[in-house]
Amino acid sequence: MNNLLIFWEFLKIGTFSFGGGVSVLAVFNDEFVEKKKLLTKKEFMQTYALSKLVPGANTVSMTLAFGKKFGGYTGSFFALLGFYFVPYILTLLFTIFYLAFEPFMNNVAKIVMPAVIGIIAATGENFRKTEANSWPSMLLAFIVLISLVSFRLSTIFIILFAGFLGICWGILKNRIKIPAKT
Amino acid sequence: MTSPLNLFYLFFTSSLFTLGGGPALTVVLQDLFVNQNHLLTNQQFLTAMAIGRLTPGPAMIYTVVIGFVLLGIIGSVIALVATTIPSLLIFPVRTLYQKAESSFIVQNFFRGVSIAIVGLIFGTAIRLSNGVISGISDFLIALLSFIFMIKYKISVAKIVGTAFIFGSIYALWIK
Repeated sequence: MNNLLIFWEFLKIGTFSFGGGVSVLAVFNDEFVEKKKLLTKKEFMQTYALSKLVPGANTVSMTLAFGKKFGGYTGSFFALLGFYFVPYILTLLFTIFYLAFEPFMNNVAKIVMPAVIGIIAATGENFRKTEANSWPSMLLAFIVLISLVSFRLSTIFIILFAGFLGICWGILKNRIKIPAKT
Repeated sequence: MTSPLNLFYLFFTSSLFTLGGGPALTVVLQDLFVNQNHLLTNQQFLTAMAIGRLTPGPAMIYTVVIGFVLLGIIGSVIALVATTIPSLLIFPVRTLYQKAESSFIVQNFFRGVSIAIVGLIFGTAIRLSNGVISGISDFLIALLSFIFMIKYKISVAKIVGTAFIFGSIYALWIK
């Protein structure tokens, strides 16, 4: 694929992916796996799994990976450019609009802000269903919550420490040979 | 307010510790921008998120709003570039992938991180409600959007869009 085509493909994906996260993945899958057959299902799922091991937004690392597959490193650059193009401009325009009508928009935000808090909590609940569905893991998640809200520990420290605990737990489990629960 | 370099550093750090998927970004961004450096209020942060959810694009696109509010066009570009850089790690990881994915250390590290993220997201929701959820009506709105997303699986963009419509009606009403 030439760079212009890569740019165009990702521009379409960027334009039609509303809501971030999973909904963007669905658009990726639809375009590249189902319609255009540029990627196999397996390839897509593997890249998705790896994007979770990489810091930053999953969809951004997937854009980079697919862009490289379609056209090398320049391909990934154009893929990213296309992916960001429309969302960046629209977000900027919306922000300028918001700031231009600020007193009015601040009243609008009185309804919108609580709704966003509900969405964040719902994201947490969706995450909990897959990541913390056993009693020990829920307890750990609860301790994390308290250490953030009451003790104001830094989130970066908590994330790294939890990763460290995960490794310790893995070693301990191997030592005492508890059958792995899946 | 803040220097371009500091802004770059804050976005880069937030993105670097966004492990295990998008939701972690909100957690670290809120911690760094609102709680630790007081560059934004909870209200500004939530509004940025709302704008980001209403426009298409990746979950991290709302960093553009934050960058723009703090440092104008330059700030918005810094936001986009700085949050993207950590994602470049996908290239080496993809080449090493079999080793990376099945590695004992990597697997268990991410197991621990994912559990922590669950607590962190709920904790961030609680921190963000400070100064935002001040009465029973605010709480009900939050509960309603929570239920719509969990129980009826309504997309985030639709919920935020609906909230903007109701918000506009409310704003016209009280004018």
